Amino acid sequence: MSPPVSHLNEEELEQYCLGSLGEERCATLEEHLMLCEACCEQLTKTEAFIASIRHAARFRAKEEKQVAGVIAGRTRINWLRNQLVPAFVIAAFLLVLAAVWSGWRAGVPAPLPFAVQLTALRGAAPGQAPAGRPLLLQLDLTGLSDARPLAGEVVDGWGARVAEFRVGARVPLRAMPAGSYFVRIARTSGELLREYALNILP
Amino acid sequence: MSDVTALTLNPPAAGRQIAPAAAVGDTTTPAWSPLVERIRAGDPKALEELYGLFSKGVRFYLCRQLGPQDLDDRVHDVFLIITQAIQGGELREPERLMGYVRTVVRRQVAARIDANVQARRSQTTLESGVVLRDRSPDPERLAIQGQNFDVALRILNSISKRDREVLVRFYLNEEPAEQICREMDLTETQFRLIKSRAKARFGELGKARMARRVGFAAQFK
Repeated sequence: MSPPVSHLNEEELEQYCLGSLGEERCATLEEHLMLCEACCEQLTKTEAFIASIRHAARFRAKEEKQVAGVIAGRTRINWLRNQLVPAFVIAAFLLVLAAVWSGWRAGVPAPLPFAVQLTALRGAAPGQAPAGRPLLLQLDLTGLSDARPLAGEVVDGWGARVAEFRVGARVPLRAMPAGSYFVRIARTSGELLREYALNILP
Repeated sequence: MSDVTALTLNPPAAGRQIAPAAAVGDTTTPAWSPLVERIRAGDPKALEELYGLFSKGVRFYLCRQLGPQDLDDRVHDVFLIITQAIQGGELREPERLMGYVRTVVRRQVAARIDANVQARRSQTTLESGVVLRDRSPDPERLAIQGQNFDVALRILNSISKRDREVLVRFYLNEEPAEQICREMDLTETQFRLIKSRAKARFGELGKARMARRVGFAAQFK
C-alpha cells in the first residue's frame, strides 16, 4: 500500500512562494500541485496575499518616509524660528535701548565750561575747578605778546602731558579728573615761559 | 507504433473516475504503472485519463511561469512529449510518472524563457507584422490586484506596531523567520500566529468585498 500524500501546509506554500523551500521538498510540492486543484487554489491565495502585503508595506514605507521628510523640514524651520526669534528680539531690544540712551544723552544739556582764572603771580593761589566739567582757562599773558607764537600744555602732578592747546586769552579744555595740574606756556622752541598751578577738585 | 500526431486530447466527462484514488482531495498516492502500461499499449482512453489527471496542474504551472499566452498549445506540447516518451519506452520507472511530468514541464518553461531571451537579444529592429504581446494584467486582474492592495493596506494600518513589523520584515525585507523571532523575542508559535491572523483577515475582508460586489451587481439583473 502506498503511503498517503499529505496536502501542502500553509508554511510550505509560503516558503515555495518566497523561494525559500528546499529543492527536494520543492519537487514533492510541485508534483502534488500537478494533481491537486485545491492546493493550486491555496497557492494562488497565498501568492496573492504575499504580493498584496508587499505592495502595501512598500507603499506605507514610502508614505512614512515622505511624512518624516515633511516633519524634519518643519522641525528645522521650527528650530530656526526658535533660535532666531529670540535673537531678533534681543537685538531689537538692544537697538531700542541704544536709541533711547543716545536720545536721552542728546536731550541732556552739556554742562557749561567752568571758567578758571590762572595767574602767574608768585604766591598766588592755584586756580581751582571742579572735576568732570569742561574748563575755560583765562590765562594771564601779560608780557608775552612779543614771544608769539606760543605753545601750551597741561601736565599732571607727575609731569605727564594730559592736554595741548593753542595759546590764547581763553583756552577751552575738556573735563579732567580730580588732581593737581600745571598749565605751561612755552615758546615753540620749547623754552618755558610761564607755569600756572591748577587744582581740579573732586 | 501509434500515431501520436493524430491524438485528440479531451478532458474526461464530469463525474468519471479518472484514476485510482486520484480525485481532488484524496491523500493516497496513485499507482501509475497500470496507466503507463496502458498508454504504452496505445489505449486512447488511457491517454484521456492522463490528460484529465495532469492538465489542470500542468496548465496552472505553465500559466504561473509563462503567462496565459499560447497556454493551450504549451499544455498540448507537454502531453505530446510525455506520451511519446512513454510510448517510446523512455520512462524507465513508471511509478515516477509525476516526477517525469514535472521535469518535462520545467524543461518547457526553461526552453521558452531561453527562447524569449534569445529573441530579445537578436531582434534589434521592429519589423512590420511582428506581434507584440501586452504582458500587463488585464483590467479585471488589475481591479482584483487593486482590491487586494486596499485590503492589505487596511490590515497593515489596523494591526499593532509589533505585528506590522513582523509582516514587513518577513514579507517585504525577506528576513529569515529565525532572525525575526530572535531579535523580536518571539516564539515560533507567536510568529506563525501573527502571520496566520493577517492571512485570515485578508481572506475575510476579500470575501466581504466580493460579497458586496456580487450583491451590488445582482441589483441590476
